[in-house]
This record gives sequence, structure tokens and C-alpha cells, in this order.
Amino acid sequence: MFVIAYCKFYPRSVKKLASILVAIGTAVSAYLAPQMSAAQPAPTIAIVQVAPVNAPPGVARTVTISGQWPDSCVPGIVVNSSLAAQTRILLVSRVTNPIGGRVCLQVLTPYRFEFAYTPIETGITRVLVDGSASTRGEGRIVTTTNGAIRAAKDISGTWYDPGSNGSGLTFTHGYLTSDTVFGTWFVYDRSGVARWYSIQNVVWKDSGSFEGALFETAALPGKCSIVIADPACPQPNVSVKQIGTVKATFTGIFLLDDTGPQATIEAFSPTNTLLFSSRVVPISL
Amino acid sequence: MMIHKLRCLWAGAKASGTAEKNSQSPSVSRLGLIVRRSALALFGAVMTTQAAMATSVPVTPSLSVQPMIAAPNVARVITVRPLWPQGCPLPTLSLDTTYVEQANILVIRARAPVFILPPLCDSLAPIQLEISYTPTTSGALRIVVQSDTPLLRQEGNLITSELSAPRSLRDISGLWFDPSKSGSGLFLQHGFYRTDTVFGSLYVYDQQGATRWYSIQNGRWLPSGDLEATLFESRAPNGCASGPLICPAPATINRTVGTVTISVSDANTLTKQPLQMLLGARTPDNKLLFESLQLNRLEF
Repeated sequence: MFVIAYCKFYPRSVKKLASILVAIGTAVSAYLAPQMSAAQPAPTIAIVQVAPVNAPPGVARTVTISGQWPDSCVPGIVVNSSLAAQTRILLVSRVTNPIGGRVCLQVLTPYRFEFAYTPIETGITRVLVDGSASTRGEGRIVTTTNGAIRAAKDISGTWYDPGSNGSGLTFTHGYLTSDTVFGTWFVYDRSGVARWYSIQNVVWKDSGSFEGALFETAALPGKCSIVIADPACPQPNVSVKQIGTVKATFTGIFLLDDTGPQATIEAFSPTNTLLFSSRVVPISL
Repeated sequence: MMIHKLRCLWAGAKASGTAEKNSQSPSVSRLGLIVRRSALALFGAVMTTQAAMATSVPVTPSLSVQPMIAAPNVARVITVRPLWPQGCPLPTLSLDTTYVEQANILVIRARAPVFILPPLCDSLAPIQLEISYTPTTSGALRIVVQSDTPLLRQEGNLITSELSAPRSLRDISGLWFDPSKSGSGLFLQHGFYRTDTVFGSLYVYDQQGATRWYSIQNGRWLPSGDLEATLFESRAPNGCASGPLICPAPATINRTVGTVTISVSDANTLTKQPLQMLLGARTPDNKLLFESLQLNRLEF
């Protein structure tokens, strides 16, 4: 009220005072910036949290975006859900204040935003938070009808143990949909011949580990053309036999641009004796 | 069904109008009837438009990019060919590039015009809409045409490459199998959005009927869009000789079994027509290693 009244009677003085304040602020900011940026830790990536973590379709979820912004001018957010049904991606864009002339101190500034989102289908919806490499983030909204445990990450791809390069596993994972996993383990027998086994009936025990069954299949003999020595060819299988179980535990950073996921895969006999194990990493193409 | 419902509504309105007419003064009821009929005509026109848009016709929409592959900073024309009611004002396209950097998705928003007075539109016919986009980096972008109107939704890819060598047009990652040979299969990992490299594992059976696997490596994309690669067999003679019956072990012997050619047919996301693949394999001296496989991708 005082400022308004003062403005009415002394507009020139107010303008002068405001410009002096802006100048002081800018000078202080310019003086502090190099010292503070050298001393302060880097800004954090955006942390995405969803509550409730897992719920059926049609239940409203609260999505919280938090982190530390590199300066005091924390931008707002705009949530774009128009693509969610088509791509299962919810984009959270950052919007800067369009009014210029603000003084942004070079200090890490905590921020926290909340918004509501109601998924209409089961599966995973990715939440991508826009920003630079150091401020962006990613999360996921898990929607299941029965509150089932789901994988934290899409494990699709080829995984191998650098210590036994030439062996490995492949996983096909319905991460965005049913969360089903089909795996193949390509190994060698005692003669050194390449053999493969399938991993099926996978059940996620928590968001980073599963248990499944290890199957051996066989086809009719003598069905390949003998155009090379010791040939092999695609055929329908005629028998399926479970030879054991598999336990897999995935570790590493489960975030956008992660480069460090690893997994320990163990094969057990029907009597639960450890047959062999591999510490594998995914190949990146 | 929609038209039938519309007729029912119209018939109901007429009957309702007649009943009310008897209980009111002639001038008031005539005015009311005119207003109601005008409203119903307007509603009918809207419903007819929607009915035309929902009519089941053979859908062959498509999305194409010209030039199909080009270097960064070359303007590309994206052409969307949806079906649209004849005589209706055309939808408009606009670009949303906010997903490009983080998710490799280029969004094209297609907006149907807003009608003050709904036009009388005819049956669905193909139309062509164009929009220009200039990618600044190499790689593959998924194009998603987003719209509140399902008719306008489509998807495609925009490929940008500095290399003169041919590049793939589709992501072929996944587990593929021939239903007639279920129990065998092909797993492909494809760096479609980055290096375009393909690594594959072919799961087959030997002459004793036991499992055997080959790897697919050194792939190169042909101008036809096909992939040609080498089929290798690995062995680990000193692997698990004294351990379990099977085990992971380092491979020490690799032999070239032959060459595989992979041809991928187009998919149509709107009609749910899946991507299909033809896999052929020949020995180094060009003999047929096994009959070609018609593969479908396993979808969960």
C-alpha cells in the first residue's frame, strides 16, 4: 500500500530506486556467481515419485517432481499428457518466467512440483522431465489391476559376461505392456558345442529380480540339408523339458542415459544346486 | 449402427414433437417445433459427419518422408495421407519438437477444424497433408502424428545420416519366429536410433535334434532396404569340460557358416498389420543352408 501511494506521488524516484536495486542485484550476482559456481555441487537430476506407486487403471496418481535447480530462478512445469495414450510417455516441460529483468542468484535452489495424472490402461507410462543433461529426469507410472510387482527397467536385449565372451543371454521383455519375459541362454556343452536353453515362466520377485524356469527343447534328428559339415537348421521342437530354474538380479542405475546396469544370472538344478552363474552386462549398439 | 441410432433419435423427436403440439397453442408449439427440428438437424449433421468418419472402409493410410534419408540440416517433407470425409475442411498440422532430444520422438499434432455449422461431409477418401522439418543431428526419429481424431493418428520414422551408406528404415529389434517352425527363432538387437548395427542369435537344431545357436554379425544395409550379414558358429572346446554339462564359456573358435539376408515388409500401426520378415541363408559357396523363413515378431 505504501509503495503504491509512493508511486503515485513520486513515480520518477521509484523508477530510479528500482533501477538502482536491479543494478545492485546484478552486480552482487555477477560477483558471487564465479565463486559460488566453483564451490557449489552440481545441480541434481529431477527425481520423479509417484503415489500410489502401483494402482489399477482409473485411479488418480500424484506425481512429484523434485530436485535442485542451478540458480534461484526455478522454472515452472507444464505437463503434456496428450501423447500418453499413443506413446505411453508423459512429458513434463520446464517453462521459464517470460518476464525479463529478474536477478538469478547462482545458488542451488530446491524445488518441488506436484500434479495429478490418471492412467486409463495397465502398463508403464514413462514420465520424462525436460531439461539439460544435469537437470532432466525420468520416472514411471505403474498401472496394474492386481497390484502385481513389475520390473523397474526394460531388460530387452543381449547380455554377456566379459569373462566368458562368446556366451550370453537374450531377453525379450514386454516392459510397457504385460511385463512378460522370454529369455534364451546361449552356452556350450562339455564338447564345446554351442547349445541354447530358454527361460520362461518368469515371475518378478521385486522390481529388480526375477525367477523363472530353464527349459531344454529338442527337434527330430536328421532334418537339415547336409550342405556344410555338422549342419543345423530351424525346425519345430518336438519335446520340451525343464532342466532347472533361473534367478536373475539386476543392479545399476535405473535412470535415463544410464550406462551401468548389470545382472547376476544363476542356473539351479531341480534339486536347487547351483549349476553355473554369469555376471552380465548389456551390449549397447 | 450410428446411422440407425440417428434415425431412432429422429423418429423419437418427431413423436415427442407431435405429442407436445397437442397440448400447446399453435404459434408457440410451431416455434418450438422449428427450434427443436433445427437443433436436431444440426445434431443430425454432426452425427452424420461422425458416422461418416467412423464408417468401416479399407484403411490404407501412410506416412512418408522425402528425401527418405538425408544428412543433418537438410529440410525434409513429411507427408501424411489419412482418410478424411470428402467435402470437410482439411485438418492442419503443426510440429512439436519437445520430445526430440529426450525421447527421439517428433510429434506432429493434427487438428481437425472446429465447425460453427457442421458441413455435410461425404464418405471417406484419402487426403494428403504436408509439413516440413529439418533435423540437426544424425539418427532415427519416431514420428508420431497425434490427434484427438483417430483417423489422423499415424506413425513413421525419419532417418538422418551423414553416411553415404544405406541405412535401415525400421527398428527390427526383438524375437522373431516362423509359426511353422515354432521352437526355433531369431533374436535381433538393432541400434536403430544410434549406430544402426545389428547383432543376432539364431536358435536352431543340429542333425541329432539338439539345440544349436549361430550368431549374426557384420551386417550391412543394402540400397533395397534388406540386411545382409554373416552367420557364425562359435565353439568353446575347453569351456566346461570338468564342470557341469553346460556352462557359459569364452568362445575360442569361430567359423563362418554362411550369409543371411533379411527382408522386412512394411507394418501399418493403424491397421495393426505387424512387421514381417523373410530370412534366407546360404553357405559361403552359395548353397541353400535351409529354406527361407517367414518370421513374425513375438509381441507380449
